[in-house]
Amino acid sequence: MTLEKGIRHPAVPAVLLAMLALMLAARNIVGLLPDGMAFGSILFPDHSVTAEMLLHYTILPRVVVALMAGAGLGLAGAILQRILRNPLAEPATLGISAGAHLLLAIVTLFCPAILANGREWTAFAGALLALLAILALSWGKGLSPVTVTLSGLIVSLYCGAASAVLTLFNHDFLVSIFLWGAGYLDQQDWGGAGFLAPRLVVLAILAVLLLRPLTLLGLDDSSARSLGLSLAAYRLLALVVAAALTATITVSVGIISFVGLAAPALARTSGARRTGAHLAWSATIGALLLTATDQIVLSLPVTYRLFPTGAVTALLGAPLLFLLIRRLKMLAPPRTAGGPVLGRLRYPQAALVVLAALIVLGLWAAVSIGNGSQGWSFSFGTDNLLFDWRWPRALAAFSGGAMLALAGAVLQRMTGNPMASPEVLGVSSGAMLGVIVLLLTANAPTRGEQILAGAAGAFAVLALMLALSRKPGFSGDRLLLIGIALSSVSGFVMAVLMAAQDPRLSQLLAWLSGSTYGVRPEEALLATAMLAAALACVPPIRRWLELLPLGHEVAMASGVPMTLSRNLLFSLCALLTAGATILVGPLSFSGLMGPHLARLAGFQRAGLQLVASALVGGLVLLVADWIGRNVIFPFQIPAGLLATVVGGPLLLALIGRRS
Amino acid sequence: MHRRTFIGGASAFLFARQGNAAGSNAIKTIALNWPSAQNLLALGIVPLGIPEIERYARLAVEPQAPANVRELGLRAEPNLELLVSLRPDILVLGDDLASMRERLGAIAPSYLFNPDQADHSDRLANGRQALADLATRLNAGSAFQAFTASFERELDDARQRLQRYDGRPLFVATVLDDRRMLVFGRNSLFQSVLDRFGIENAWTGFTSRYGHAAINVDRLADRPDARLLCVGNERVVTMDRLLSAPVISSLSFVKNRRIALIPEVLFYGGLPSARRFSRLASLALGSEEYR
Repeated sequence: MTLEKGIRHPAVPAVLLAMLALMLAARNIVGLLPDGMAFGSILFPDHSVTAEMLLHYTILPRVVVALMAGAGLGLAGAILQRILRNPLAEPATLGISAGAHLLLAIVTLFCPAILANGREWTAFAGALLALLAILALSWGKGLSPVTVTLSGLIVSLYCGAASAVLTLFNHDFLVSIFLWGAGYLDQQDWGGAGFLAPRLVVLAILAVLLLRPLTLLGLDDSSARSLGLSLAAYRLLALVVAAALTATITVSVGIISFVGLAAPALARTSGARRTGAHLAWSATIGALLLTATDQIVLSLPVTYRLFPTGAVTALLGAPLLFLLIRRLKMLAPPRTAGGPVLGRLRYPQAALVVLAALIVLGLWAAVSIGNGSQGWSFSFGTDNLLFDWRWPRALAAFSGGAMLALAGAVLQRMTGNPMASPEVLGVSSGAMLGVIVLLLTANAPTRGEQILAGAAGAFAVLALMLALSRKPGFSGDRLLLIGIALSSVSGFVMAVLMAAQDPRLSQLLAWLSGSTYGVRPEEALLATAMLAAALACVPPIRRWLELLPLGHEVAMASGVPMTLSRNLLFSLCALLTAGATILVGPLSFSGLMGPHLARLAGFQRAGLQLVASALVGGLVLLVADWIGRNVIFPFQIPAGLLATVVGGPLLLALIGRRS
Repeated sequence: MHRRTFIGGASAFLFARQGNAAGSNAIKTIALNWPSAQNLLALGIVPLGIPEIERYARLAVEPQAPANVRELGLRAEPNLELLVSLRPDILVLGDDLASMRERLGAIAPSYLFNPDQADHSDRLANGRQALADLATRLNAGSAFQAFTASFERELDDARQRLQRYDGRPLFVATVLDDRRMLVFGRNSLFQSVLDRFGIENAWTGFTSRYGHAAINVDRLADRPDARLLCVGNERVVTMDRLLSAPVISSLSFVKNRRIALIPEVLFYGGLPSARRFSRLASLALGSEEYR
């Protein structure tokens, strides 16, 4: 408590971080400085003295790059959080980095000649394409915060999934892209600093020019409009500046997580409220946060210095965010676009029956029709030799998809955040971490051990979240923030594994991409049983979910027990997510796609939407699994990835048309 | 000359066995990862299928798989329905698919082949033992004898070529990107081969259980007297950029171009990979300029 009370001014964390960074940097530099070497030789090194060369060309530019990249990310995060009015918004939300990553991977694989001299421009082009996609998607709604956020999230997920497909099939050749994406700050010359400096200066000046409009954009739309602001035009400008900042930094140092989220949050909680002050302190804190983290990485024993700084920021930032979450004032959170725009189904029950029939048909087709060594074949029933191999996968795909979609629908209703997907709960990160740890420590883990390890990880996270949710101030969106913090930890582990080039990586990649490959019959049945149990829970929770989106006060007044309902709903989501993740990997997209498709199809009331979400999510995964197993036989595309890559644009088109 | 004779002999041997494999009583095998494929082929046994064959030909290169071997799909997820329809007698797999062993048992008995033991003993001895066990399981004892004899012969030839090597310590590394390399040290397959040649490894730092470590290129500055052997020639452009960074280009071994480049070799997989490495490395390092 004393710590929190002490932070009254943003200068407090800034000075603390600066002291830490300075101390560590001094230690690291002096450690390299040979006896009797003049300090000036750092600036003008003697080319025959390796120590001087190292200081001048690796340590010094690294500090400068860390300062600049951190400042840029902090600034970009602050701008985005203002215009999107969402404290969860950060540069990664926009999909800019993911777009750059995807195009780099494509170019690396298909025209590597371009990369020799055009890596920066390739990444820029990818970032630009991602931004254009977001703008195209949200233009119709005047770039409203909700639409931009949602489009950004979808573009980000989509690019991520497309990159994952490329990675899964080509990871032998994408090492350099992994390493770039992991967020290393190491430098071998002054090129990176020279690249960043002029671009960041121009963009920072633009941000200063946008100060007044940014203040107004932080208000709600009607007040901003009444003050005579052309909302769309300024939002576009601010968005482009933030995107350009992100792209510039991503291009030169890769994907640095967390700084863009944590720096503005830290600045705001420690008292920087006015726009100008907030931007300035966000940039300052971002710069110092990244530099301090980077110096910590440099102080590690040699073996661990290869940890990517971009991922370590997440590791160190997570506890910081934990401390600050309660003090973080949520800006008006984006609400699910609902109401009059969307039509309601006249006979929703009949529509549900049609959906169920489609699923039965799909399951039947998935076990009967398939590509094989002799081409396509059709065989009905259990006399088929391949029946035993197909049904567990089909059933697991359906159940996994349905469980995640149900969890997604519940989460989105209870938090009122359309970005809420089961993945951000942190439970799937917990499961991932459990499996990763097992894979790295045990010699040849069996499937059963893998499931146990995943379950242990998932339930550890669940216990943590339940414990936290008892404390005052941890509600809805804030618990999601914890999930984000945890998922960045698992992201860190993956980045380290990739950088270490472990041959066991390919197995992990396949599982992480949502594959039903290893599912055993009893697991598929268990998943179906879990789904059935969860669906049976829908009637009792229906009323809560009808009232919770209307706001805290309305729900309280209508007699919804807030703490109890929150705990129960979170536990339900967490159990569903854990089950699905452990069995078929984190198929995050169906958690978004199911609920949104159900809503767009006209299932409005909570109970019906939940059931429809589950059925739609399950059907999508079922179809994706079948296509994935057959389309490029004998190769297989994991269901989760395929659903994202094929279903993503479909969902985008639907959202675009309806909004 | 010697090398060509050997490859000719090996392929004649290989085709002889393949005819045999088509016969009715030969054991029908399937390799579920590359080391298994390499070692089966080294015994002259042609598996019915290998995962990611095209990439195998590009990255593992030898022993070459004949054209009639089936593609099984990704190494991480070889196609189960295809495995069922190929009706193999035995599935040879590595640690990476160990979690699938139980399910694979429904298709055919599985054999866990692991030439890369994680302990710190000699990798060549481990690889030889694993291959011997595999040969015993598949009744290919004579093929094992023939292979190890040719392996020792090749190693001797390589040592011969390196007799007048100047004795500089050697970094063995693969270029990852323009700032980083994967360097092979203690506990690596390449180290075991270097030990046979009596060449000192310049990298004495940390290595993973596979004997490699990803390092920043500036760590090469620790041993400016060394020589660099780059494994894998797919990223020559990147290598040139990597070596042109100020710190690195100021090192004496880069200035004097004490750098050799050899084609792709798998850094795990036991004797077949070791054989390829010893031949390529000795040809590159035994050339006139390094004496």
